[in-house]
Amino acid sequence: MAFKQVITESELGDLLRPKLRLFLSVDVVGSTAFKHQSQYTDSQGWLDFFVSFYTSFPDILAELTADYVKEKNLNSFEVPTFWKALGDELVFAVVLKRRVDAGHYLCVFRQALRRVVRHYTMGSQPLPINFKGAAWLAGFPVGNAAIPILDGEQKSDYDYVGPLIDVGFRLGKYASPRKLVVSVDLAALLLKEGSNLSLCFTEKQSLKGVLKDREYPIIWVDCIDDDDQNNEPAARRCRAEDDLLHSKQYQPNQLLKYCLAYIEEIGKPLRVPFIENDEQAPLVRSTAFEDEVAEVEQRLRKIFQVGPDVVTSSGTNSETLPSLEKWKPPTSKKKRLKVKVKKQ
Amino acid sequence: MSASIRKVTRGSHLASPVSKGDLAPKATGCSRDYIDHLAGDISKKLGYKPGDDLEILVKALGGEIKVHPWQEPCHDGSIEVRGFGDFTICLSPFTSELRDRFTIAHELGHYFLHSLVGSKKINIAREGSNPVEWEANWFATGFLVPSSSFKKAFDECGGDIWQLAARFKVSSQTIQLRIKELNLGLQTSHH
Repeated sequence: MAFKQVITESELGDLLRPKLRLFLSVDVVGSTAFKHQSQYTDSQGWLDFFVSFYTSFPDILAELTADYVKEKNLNSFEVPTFWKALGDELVFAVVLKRRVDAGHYLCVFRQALRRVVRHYTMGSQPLPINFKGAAWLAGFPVGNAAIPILDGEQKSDYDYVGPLIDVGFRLGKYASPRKLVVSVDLAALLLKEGSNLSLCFTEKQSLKGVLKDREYPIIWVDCIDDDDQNNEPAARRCRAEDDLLHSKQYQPNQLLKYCLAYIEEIGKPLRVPFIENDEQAPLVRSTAFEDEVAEVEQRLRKIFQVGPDVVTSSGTNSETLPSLEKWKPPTSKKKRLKVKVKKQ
Repeated sequence: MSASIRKVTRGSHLASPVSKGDLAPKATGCSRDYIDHLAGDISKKLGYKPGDDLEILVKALGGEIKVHPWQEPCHDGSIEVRGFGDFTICLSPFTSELRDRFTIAHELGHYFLHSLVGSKKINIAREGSNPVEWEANWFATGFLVPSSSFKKAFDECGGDIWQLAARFKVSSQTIQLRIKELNLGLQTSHH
């Protein structure tokens, strides 16, 4: 993967525009054992599976999204974009336009997980594998960064780095075929919006190397489908286990209160998520945010060579910048790109 | 294949994945266009609607679907036709739901085109690139994504690939190829 070193003012403006991205990860459980169990390694059955899974899961997610949008009559609802594959894990990203969309995406993602679980693990010839999911939020450009990738390198236009991306990847360790783990800020967003997804909170864990090893709440969406006749025994066992181990019920507002208190106590890089220009209503954000964006802008201008937008003969912006070699970036603060950020 | 689970039974007599001697079918030599329309007509006559469960259809035709054990080498799909209404389609345990749907339609292509609805015994695996396999692929596309209903759906969905893929329960790649084959993208840009 090659990063862009030269970007246009428009691209910089886009990078500086506050965005809240939802990341969705699906991982194959037991894949190492599966690769080594095959008695016929020459047939590379596991390779057939991985190629099939890699190519089909993005389609499944997109098709379920299309079905969901139609069913719920949603507007301007984008399909999550495949971001990257890390070993047996596929990660998707999508910019949230409305707070309520987080719950919609989680519903679709859980459906997609259930579908691959059913297909590969519950048929007459179940594969000795399973699937687990995780979802987390990361805000941009403050705290986390989107790095533009050279055209044609990947399906996604950006690579993403930052402390909340690290937190997200660490959360995967605590996911299981039953537990779709969500980050604490995502849980807060879902709870605030009164999402239909019921969230469970059963433990706290230290996430290696992030948040100064402070314990992090493991909050999850239940992937067990009580209506799935093919999985009735497992569903019954899970419910019985719940009764035994976690009999104390809590109200969603209690969990929301806890999530918000946790975010407040930890502080940066965690923050209460907000969406700029949210069609519903803007969420609360830090008053120092505008200054933070300005700092990010200065940093990006140092990292990237930022050039003017080139207008082609057809009148459209071109990403090829033939005259950039002689061009120097402005240094005056007055020339900084203005990003409108409402203070609250 | 339903949208849920491979409900097919574990089979002890799986179709041999290798085409042998007399059981190796010959290509019909029909044009792509002809096979495409024929498949669309057959799907219509069988009462198949886009996205329907193919397992039910295969059962209605007298056939059965089995999934190959994952511990053994296998092909993406194969079919053994023993007679009229007597055939077994074997699927790979590794392939996705959408891939399986295309494979089932592909094998039905062999059943209709190359065994002539069971009048000729055949045993063939989905592998390689030859006229027999091309014809089965053309049939599969024409069956799952009939040109007439696809054109209508294309307009209704405004050419949205994901909506079309969801409606026809095929991969986005199949939809993209179908749009190209039927020159629908070109028509849209003119509108």
